[in-house]
Amino acid sequence: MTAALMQATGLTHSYGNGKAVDDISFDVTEGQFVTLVGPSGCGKTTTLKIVAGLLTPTEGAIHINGRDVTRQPAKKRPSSLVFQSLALFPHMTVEQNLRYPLDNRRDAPDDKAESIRGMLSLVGLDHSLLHRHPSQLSGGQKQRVALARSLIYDPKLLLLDEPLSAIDFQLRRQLRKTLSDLHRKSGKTFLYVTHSLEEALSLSDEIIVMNAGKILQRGSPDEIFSSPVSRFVAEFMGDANVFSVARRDEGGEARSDATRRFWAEELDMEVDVRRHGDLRDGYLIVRAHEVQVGRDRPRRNAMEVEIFNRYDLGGSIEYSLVRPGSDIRLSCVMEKGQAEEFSPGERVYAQWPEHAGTVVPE
Amino acid sequence: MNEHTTMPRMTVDEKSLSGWLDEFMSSWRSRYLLVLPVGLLLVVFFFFPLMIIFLYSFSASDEVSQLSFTLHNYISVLSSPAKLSMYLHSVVYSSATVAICLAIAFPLGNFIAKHLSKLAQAFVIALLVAPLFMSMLIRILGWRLFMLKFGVLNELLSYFGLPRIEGLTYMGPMAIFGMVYLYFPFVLFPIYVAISNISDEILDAARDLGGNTWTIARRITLPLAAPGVAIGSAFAFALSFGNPVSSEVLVGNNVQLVGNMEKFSFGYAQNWVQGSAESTIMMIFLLIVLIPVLKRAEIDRLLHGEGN
Repeated sequence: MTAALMQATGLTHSYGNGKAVDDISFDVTEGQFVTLVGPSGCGKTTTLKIVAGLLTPTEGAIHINGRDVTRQPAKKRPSSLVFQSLALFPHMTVEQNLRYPLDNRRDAPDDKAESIRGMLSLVGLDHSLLHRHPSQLSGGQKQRVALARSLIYDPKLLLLDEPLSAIDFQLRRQLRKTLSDLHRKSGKTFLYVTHSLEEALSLSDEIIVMNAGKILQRGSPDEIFSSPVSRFVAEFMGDANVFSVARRDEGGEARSDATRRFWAEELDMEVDVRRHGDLRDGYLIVRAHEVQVGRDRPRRNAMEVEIFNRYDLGGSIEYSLVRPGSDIRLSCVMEKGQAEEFSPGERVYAQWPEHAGTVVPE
Repeated sequence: MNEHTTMPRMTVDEKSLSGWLDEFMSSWRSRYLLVLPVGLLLVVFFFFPLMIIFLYSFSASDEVSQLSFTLHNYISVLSSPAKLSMYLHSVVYSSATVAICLAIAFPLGNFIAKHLSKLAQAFVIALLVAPLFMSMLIRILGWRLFMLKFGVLNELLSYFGLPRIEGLTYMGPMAIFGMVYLYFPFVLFPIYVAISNISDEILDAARDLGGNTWTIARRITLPLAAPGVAIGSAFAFALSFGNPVSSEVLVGNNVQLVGNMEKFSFGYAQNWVQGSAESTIMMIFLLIVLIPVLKRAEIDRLLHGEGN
C-alpha cells in the first residue's frame, strides 16, 4: 500500500445546532483521483474547504505528507482549491491571474512568463488569451484558466469544488476529459467534489459517497456502482429500480448455493438474488441497464409489464414500464440493435438475471 | 388587452381608460413627461442658482437689473497673492484630509465588511451615521471645547499628572483634524460598500494561492474597491474644499481656506460679485480635478459588484 498524501481524521464541523460534517475519516493516496460525491448539503464542500484550510474543523485533524496542518492557514498548505465560482480575479488579465500564485511561490521558476505560457498550453488554452480579462472569456475558457491558476501554484494536492457545475452539457463532457488528462499529465493528486454521479464515475480512481455529513461508502467506481451498501447509495447512483424484499428460506428452492430466494411484497412475486450479504430483509436494487424486455416469458425474476413510454437516448433506448393494474414502475435501458424494439402500449415481459440484483439494507 | 375584453363586467369607459393608459405609457413622449417634475426641480433649484453665480461672477454690480460684463472680479482674485495662497492651502488641507481618511477608512472598511457579522456591521454603520444627524457646527464646536486650554483634554491630562498641551485651537493644521472628523463617514461608506461587494470566494482564492494580508490588500482588495476609494476621495475632497467650519470654529481662522474667503465675500464684505468669481474658480478647479477621478470610478461597478 502506498502512503497516504492526505489524511483526514475524525473531522467534524458544526454550525449552530447542526453538523455539516460529522466525524468523518478518510485518506487520499498520492497520485490518485478521489471524488467526494453526495447530494447538496451533504457536507462535501465543507470537507473540501477544511482540507484547503479555509475552514477550521470543530474537531478532527488534517495531515498532509504526514504533517499536521489542521491549524495552518490555507496559504501555508501544499494544496490549492479550484472554486465552484472559479473566483478568477476580475480586474486581472489571464496572465496576471496566473502570475499571482507564481509571485507567492517561494520556489517559483525564474522565467515566469515562460512558465505561464507552458501552463496555458497544458490546459489547452491559446496564448492569444493572455491579455484578456475573465469577463472576455467563454465559460470553458474561464474554467481552464481557473485550473491553470491552481496548478501553477504547484500544489501537492489539487482540490476541486464542482468546477464543472456552471457549464453546459456538451462542454462539460469535453472538460471532463481535459480534467482526466490533466490528472494523468500532471501526476498530481486530485480531490474532487461533485453531486454528479456521472462525473464521479467517469473521473475517479476512488469514490467516497457522503450524505448528511457522514461517509456512507468508499470504493472504486465499479464497486460503488455494482455493490452499493445501502438503499441511499444505490438510489443516488441513479437508474435503480428499488423494491423491498424479505428472505424466504422455506418453500421456494434456490437454483444454486449462491442464490437465495426472496419474497418481494410489492411485486407479489419471488425473486432469486445472488448478492444479498446474508440479509434477511432489505431492498432489492436492479439497475435499469440490467433489466431486459422480451416477448417470451422467462423462467425467473420476470413479470409481465406494459410499455408506458420509450425514450431514445441515442445509442440506447430507455423504456418506462408499468405493471398492469398497479402503479409499479420499472425503468429499463437497452442497447440499440441488441434487442427487438417495442412501442408504448405493448405487453411484454421484464426480466433480470440472478447475478444482476443486489439486496441492500435501508 | 385580451384579458380586459374577456372581463364581462368592465364598462366601456374603464376599458378605454386602461387602453389610453397603456398607450400613454408606451409612447415615447410620455417618458419625457414623466421625467419633467425631476427635471424642473433640477433646473429651478440646482442649475438656476449656479447660473446666477456664474452671471454675477462676470458682473460689476449685484443688482439683477444692472448685470454687465467684466473680467474684473476674476482678475482681482487671480492677481491677489493672499487669495491664491488660500486656494493653495485648501488644496493642501483637503489633500491631507483625503489621505488621512483613506488611510483609516480602507483597513476599517475592510474590517467591517469582511470580519464582522451582519448584525455587528449594521451596529457599527449606525454608530458612524448617528453624528451626521447633528449640525456639523455643533460637533466642531464640541471638539474646540475638548481642545481648549482648559478644555476636556487638558483637564484629563492634568488629572493624570501629564503636562497640558496648549495652543491646539490656534494651530492652523489642526483644521485638518476637524475636516477628517467631518468627512470620514463619506469616505468610509463607499469603501465599505465596495469591499462588501468583493465575493468571499475571491478573497479565499487569494489566500489559498499563497497571498499574505499585505499582498491581498494591495493586489486584490484595493483594485477591486477602487470605485469606492475614488468616490470617497472625491466626496471628502470636494466637501472639505469649500467648507469654512473647521478652519473657522476649530482653529479660529488661524488658517484661511477657500471657504473662509467665500464666506467673507458674501457675508462681511457684501461683495457678491467677488464671491461669485471666487466660487466659480473653485468649482472649475474641482471639476478639473474630480472628473477624471470619478470617470475611473465606474460607479456601476460599485453598485452591481464584480467578481462573481
